[in-house]
Amino acid sequence: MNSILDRYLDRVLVYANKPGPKAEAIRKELKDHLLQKVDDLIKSGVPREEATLEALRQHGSPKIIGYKLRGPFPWIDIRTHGTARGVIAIGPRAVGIFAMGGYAMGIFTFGGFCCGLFSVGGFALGLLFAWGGFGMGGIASGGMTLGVVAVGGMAAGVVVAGGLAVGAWVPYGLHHGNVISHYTPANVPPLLKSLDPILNDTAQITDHFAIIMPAFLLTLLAFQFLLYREGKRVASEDDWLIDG
Amino acid sequence: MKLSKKSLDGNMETLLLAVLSAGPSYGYQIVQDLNATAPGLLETGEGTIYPVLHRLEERDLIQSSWRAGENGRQRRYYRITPKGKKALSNNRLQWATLKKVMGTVLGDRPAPDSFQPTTRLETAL
Repeated sequence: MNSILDRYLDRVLVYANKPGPKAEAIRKELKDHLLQKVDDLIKSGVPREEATLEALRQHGSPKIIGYKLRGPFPWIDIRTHGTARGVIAIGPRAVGIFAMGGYAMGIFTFGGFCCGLFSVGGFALGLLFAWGGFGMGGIASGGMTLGVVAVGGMAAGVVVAGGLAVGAWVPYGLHHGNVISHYTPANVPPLLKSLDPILNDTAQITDHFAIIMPAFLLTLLAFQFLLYREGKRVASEDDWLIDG
Repeated sequence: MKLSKKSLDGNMETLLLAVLSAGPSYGYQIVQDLNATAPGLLETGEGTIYPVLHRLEERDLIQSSWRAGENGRQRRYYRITPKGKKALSNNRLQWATLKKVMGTVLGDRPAPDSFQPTTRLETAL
């Protein structure tokens, strides 16, 4: 019986991600609760095996309890499994002001798939700036880009440059392929024209994508592997455990 | 009527402080007390009170200590602190005010039985 309870508690503590002494205190406290519950159920006539499972069922999802036991938003959270949450967050999934991971969300994000105000990654969604294999955002630069200002192999947006560029204004001289542009150099509004230097800078960075993209994809794959390994460790042998 | 998780989230701390204001207690006993007074309150799981208890302790609203229970196992007992009593008192006032406001606006009338979308939909169909 203890082994089943311990496996349940293992799972709670994986999600809680507390340091040693705190984790032990949580384990001891929750185990006391569960054992008391089992004792009471047995006293009320429930067979021991059923009592254990019922106690776990009533105790709730280890995932929900574990996550709720996590500390407040720390300065730095680095982890090899689960979701890192912190001002600086690094992990397979990362949520923070500065987030780096396979999946990263925050203000400044860097990773395989990232979403934020400023995003750099394999697949980047950025409200202000996105730079990646696939970039989408305010200023988007990448292999395929969609944005207000877009630079890439294939680009679509208001101001764009790329192998195939579709937009309101495509600066002549920066693109290398086909162009569909609403404005021509003769009638382009000054505001759009003033964005040309930005496009020029980002276009130069974009030239390095052939080297950078595989690195991002490897980051994504590496974090994905860590997630898979952890998921297998936590869940594969305990399918019977309740999980939210 | 079943309370939504959203309704409970903000008030669980107050409920736990209220239980502990009656005297020191431990997790399992607190759950028993809550279940006795409000059955179904902890539908999402009895274990969900522990994160709330730990949060209250971090904010110095309650204190905990380990001592042997009647079964001989080490057990973590919680007791409310003066700061916790003050917080509970404030929360009671807040709740009384909110109750008064809601009662005034809603007219203290229970929702009519017909206010059930599925029943109405079935009737319409």
